[in-house]
Amino acid sequence: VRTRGRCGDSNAEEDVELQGVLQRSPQENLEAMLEARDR
Amino acid sequence: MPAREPFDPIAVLQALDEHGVRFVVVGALGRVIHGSGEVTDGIDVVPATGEENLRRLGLALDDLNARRRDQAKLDLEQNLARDPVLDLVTDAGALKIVPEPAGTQGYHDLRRGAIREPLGHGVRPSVASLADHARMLAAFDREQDIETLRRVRRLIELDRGASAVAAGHWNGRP
Repeated sequence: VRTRGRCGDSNAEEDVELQGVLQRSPQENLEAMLEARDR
Repeated sequence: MPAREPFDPIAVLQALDEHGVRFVVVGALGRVIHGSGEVTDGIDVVPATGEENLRRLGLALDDLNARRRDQAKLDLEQNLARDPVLDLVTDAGALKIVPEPAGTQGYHDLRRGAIREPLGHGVRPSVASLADHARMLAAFDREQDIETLRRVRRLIELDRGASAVAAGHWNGRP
């Protein structure tokens, strides 16, 4: 999971993604980052 | 490609907890915990700077085998009095001690908005709020942070919208 640049009409798409982020627990966010780091 | 340094944030946080260090997590790891989606190799903490807390911090750093990245002698009180950021390498990864991050007045300022976030393994550090993370990023005023700051601000807006809906008084504006 990396922050990426965006363009055009991707606001709604990003909002959906961020709404999903807000549903995740802090532990899940940390674990996702550590997994991404190891890839 | 060089091997990445080890990074075990839970081990760092456990060592701080074991010695009862008072601190707030900030920086990229703090934002990650809130869901920023970044990847980071280190942890930044803002400690309370009272004498007793620094003594406890020193004990935790001993446990983590902390040393300065620049290989200069580690003298916590002296270093923190002189350097705005103490950049350390530990056996569990990079650790930055930041007594007063840009745009803040340090531990007591950040502690007000911080929340204890459960991260597993019984670790529940105080993590600076998203609003305070946005404040710090804005104060840095760095080109490289523009996208992260935009994303953090959007997360704040969406979170506020969700909270307002939950409270039954959303006005329809983002």
